Amino acid sequence: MTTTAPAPAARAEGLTKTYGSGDAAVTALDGVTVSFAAGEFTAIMGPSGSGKSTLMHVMAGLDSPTSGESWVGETALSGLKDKGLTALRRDAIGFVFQQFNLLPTLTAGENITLPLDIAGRKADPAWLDEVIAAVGLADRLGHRPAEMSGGQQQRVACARALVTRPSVVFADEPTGNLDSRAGAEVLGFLRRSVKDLGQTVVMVTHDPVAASYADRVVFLADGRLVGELRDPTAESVLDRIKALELPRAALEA
Amino acid sequence: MLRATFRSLLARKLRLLLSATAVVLGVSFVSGALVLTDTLGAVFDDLFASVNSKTAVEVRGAQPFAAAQGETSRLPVPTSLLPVLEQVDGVAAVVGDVSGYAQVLTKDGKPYGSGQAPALGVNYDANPRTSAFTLRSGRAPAAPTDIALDASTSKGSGFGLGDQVTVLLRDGRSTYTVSGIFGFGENDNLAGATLVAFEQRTAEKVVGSPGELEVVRLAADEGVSQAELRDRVREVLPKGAEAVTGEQSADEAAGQIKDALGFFNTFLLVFAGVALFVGGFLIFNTFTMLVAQRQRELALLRALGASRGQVVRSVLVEALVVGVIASVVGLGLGVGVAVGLQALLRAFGGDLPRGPLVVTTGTVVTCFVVGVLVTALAALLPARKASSVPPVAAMRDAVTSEPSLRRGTIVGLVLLTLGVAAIAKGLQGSIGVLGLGALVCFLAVAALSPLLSRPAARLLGAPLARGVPGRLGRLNAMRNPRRTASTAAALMIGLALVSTVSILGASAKASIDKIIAGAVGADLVVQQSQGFDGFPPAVAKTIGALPEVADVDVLRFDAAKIGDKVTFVTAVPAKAVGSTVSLTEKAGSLRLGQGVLLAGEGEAKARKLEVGQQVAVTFAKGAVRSYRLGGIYADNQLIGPYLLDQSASSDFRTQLDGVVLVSKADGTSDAAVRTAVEAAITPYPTVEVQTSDEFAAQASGQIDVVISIISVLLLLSVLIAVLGIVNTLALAVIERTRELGLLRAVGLGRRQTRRMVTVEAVIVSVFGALLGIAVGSAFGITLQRALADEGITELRFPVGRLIAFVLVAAIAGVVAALLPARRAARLDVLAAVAST
Ligand SMILES: Nc1ncnc2c1ncn2[C@@H]1O[C@H](COP(=O)(O)OP(=O)(O)OP(=O)(O)O)[C@@H](O)[C@H]1O
Ligand SMILES: [Mg+2]
Repeated sequence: MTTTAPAPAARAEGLTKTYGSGDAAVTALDGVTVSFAAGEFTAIMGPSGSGKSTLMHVMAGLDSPTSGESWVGETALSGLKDKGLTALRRDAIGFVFQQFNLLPTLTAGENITLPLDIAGRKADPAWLDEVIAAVGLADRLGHRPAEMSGGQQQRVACARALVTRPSVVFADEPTGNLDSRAGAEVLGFLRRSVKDLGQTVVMVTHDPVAASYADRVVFLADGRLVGELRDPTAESVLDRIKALELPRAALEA
Repeated sequence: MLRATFRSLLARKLRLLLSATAVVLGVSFVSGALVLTDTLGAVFDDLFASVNSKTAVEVRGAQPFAAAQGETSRLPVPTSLLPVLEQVDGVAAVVGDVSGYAQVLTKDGKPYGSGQAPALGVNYDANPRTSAFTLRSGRAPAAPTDIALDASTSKGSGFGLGDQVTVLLRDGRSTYTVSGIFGFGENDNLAGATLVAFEQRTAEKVVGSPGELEVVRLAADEGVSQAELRDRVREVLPKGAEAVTGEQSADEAAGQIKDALGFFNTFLLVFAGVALFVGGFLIFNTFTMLVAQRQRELALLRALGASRGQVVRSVLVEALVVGVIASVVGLGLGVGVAVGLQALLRAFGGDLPRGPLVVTTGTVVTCFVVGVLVTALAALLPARKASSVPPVAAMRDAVTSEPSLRRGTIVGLVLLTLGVAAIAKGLQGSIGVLGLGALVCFLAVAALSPLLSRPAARLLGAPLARGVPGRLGRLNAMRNPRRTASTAAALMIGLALVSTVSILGASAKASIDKIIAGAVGADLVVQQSQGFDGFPPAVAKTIGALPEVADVDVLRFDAAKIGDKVTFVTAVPAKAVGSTVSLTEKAGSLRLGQGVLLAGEGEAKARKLEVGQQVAVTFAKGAVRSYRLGGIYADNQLIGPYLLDQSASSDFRTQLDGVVLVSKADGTSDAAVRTAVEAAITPYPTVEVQTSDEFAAQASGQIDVVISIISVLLLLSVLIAVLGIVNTLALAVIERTRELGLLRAVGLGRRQTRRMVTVEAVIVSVFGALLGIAVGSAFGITLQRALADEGITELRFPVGRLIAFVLVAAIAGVVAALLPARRAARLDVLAAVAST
């Protein structure tokens, strides 16, 4: 099963992102070439400021690279204008941010179907049921975000990210604001969505335990890819971090 | 603390600028109105002082009653008094003045002048001891065929020395030769009037009445003061005549004009008040939102030890700075408004004398007080709210807790009760109390409207809520009922007033139509199209002689005092009643005759007049006569409240005709009689002929003009309210930055984002419009009821117009959303998501 590499759901080639210019220039990404296989759960790790969020934003079409190219499925992002990027985000990409993922005016159910509603499409009822069941919030769909816990809110956000059956879901520290139990609920859901529903998830995390839910961990430092780990466990991730001489302090930040 | 205040001021200058604009507009109206009245007042003071500078004493007839609106209705001074006055010790010179209708015709036979300013014929006073005229060229009129023109009329009409000029007079037209051109000192004319000056005797004959003078002016010998001479003159005066000093006469003349200007001034100030009131709402909204957004910052200040008072003061100082800046700008703009209004008055009212702009200390102080007070008052509640932010809010996530609407509702109900009570009181005659009542009602509705805004937004948004952007826009309009309500309330005020005016106007039109339809039984109505006094009896005589015409009836109108009220009386030939003048008998008999008075139903009811009783009538020329009330007729627009026999018109001020009713001869077509009458009146360009239908349409047409003028001015307040919507939306977009970023991230397109903001704006503005129309309808119905006795008996809703208002409001919403929507759509998604 691991002999043939699955077709990538998203990939990047020589991605460079520089903020500012001259003396004040910051190179957030420095020639990153990476590929995220379809049906895989990938974690991205690295110290604070290493460019993890920047990588996700550029690959998700929220930001444009200084040079290099990235693809979602077969679509090259550099060729798209705002309209195309918007449609791509709506149809082919799912998002989970660290916090503030939901519109306060909409109920959980409405938040989940928001991308479909925006596109003016009907949800595939079977898929919707599956996602909602997986997220375990069937009885909370009528609630507004203010009436839900942080973990529940993040699970709703995950369900929303999956509802369009996107090519790839990007999650930037989705458990960063949660305690370990609520975090485990969200991670469990992401895990199931890959395993049982066949989705592709890319997740940034600082937590080796969270990373251990993934199929693969990619390590980033100073805007460069510095390593990779398959079928990680919390220990193996920690070991690798040590081996890469990443400052622990950064990881705990 | 002060420094923190100024920092935050600077940081939000755009926001504040927008809300300050509302105050700026209001203040500039106030300042414009004041500067204009002061300037014109000073100009007229100067003018009349210089015109009257040679007059030490003026002798004039007593006033039988004080007529309405500065109209002079004085008794004449007999010519026989002149020799008596000449004998008074200290009198250097005496001149008896007359004045009356004299209309210059232009070279192509049209009446010269705007039709607004009077066209007067006067005697040319050539005596340098008394004359106010300054001869510019030529010589004083000496022969009966000579005239002198004022320099402005000469310039405007193109008539110069030696030219033949046709002048319309009370008794027909005559042609004269221009012998001289005159001015008044530096001024080319006298307060815009078109003057034709005749030689003394001729003037007495053609514009005055034989043996009667309007006033006698006296010049004093050296060393005799005005007051001294006046006292001496008084001793020789007969009953019915009075003497005043030249200074007093000048003051009175200027005062009359200033009274008229004062009306204009009040009119402008009312609109300024409306603009400021709406502006107050804007300031209130802006500060409320700014305080809400700064909740964390304020809480931090409180946590750091700032007292409640300090927080209140910091917000108030911010408001004061805005108020002061707005006042300064408004004051400056107002001077420009005054200049513009002067130009406008010139364009409509003819020549105004020119003078430097007068900006008094009073104007400056008023503008500052008004601007600062409105701003500070409007910011008071938000400031108090700011101070109630608990210090812990700094630590919590800023969840803007929505306090219950109950307090606002109670306040609203109390205000509503007070407002309705004030309106009820005001309807008994005090316009000030009425206005105050309306104001309180507006506040009440504004306080109550948050209750409505959620259901209203749900309902109004329903047709717009197809698709996610529409649904989200609707939800946004519903999420903060107070904000939606107070933004809409600003729009409500303007629309309520416009609706009131429209409803009243439509009702007045319907009422007039009802009583005018059938008021005229004649085939044609001949009346004056220009000027005020009426037209010469020769017109009726000419028309009556036409073969196409069977009969003519002449109507004359004049002011008279009945009981303690100055009113209008109409005189017609007895035979007209029931034929050309259709009257419906309500009581008694409508047979006119010597000593018989008829009254309209409304008037009779209001004055409790009974058929058969004696009624004393004081005429403008001083005669007091007693009439028997012969009968009561259903109200009639043409006739007015009282009707007398034709013979009574000899007691009227002028012997000019007001209206001529024409009945065609048997076997003549409508078109033929009209053509004949039109041809017959061509020598009288100020006279026009209409069918009775046209006559009725003209009356309601005038109402349309008034409604349009008032509506345009009120739309200014709607404009300010639109600024308010822009402001609220712009602040909301900032408040919802993260939300917008999220929406954009999950795929909401730019157009969809714009649509979302636009839908919210349209919901708010249509909500405001509907509120306004509801309140305006309530006002309109109330006022119509109250004015039923004054003749507005019908109630009409101009449905089309009201619907148009809603549409205009919807469009205004779309326009208001343009910039905020653009901003929302342009938001940098990443920055929005990242911002906390
Ligand atoms: N808008 C920006 N302007 C300038 N520099 C930026 C901007 N955004 C990110 N950077 C810089 O780019 C670098 C990478 O930032 P990025 O947010 O990708 O790091 P990260 O790995 O996600 O860190 P963290 O773990 O703290 O979230 C940092 O040095 C950061 O300061
Ligand atoms: Mg990051």
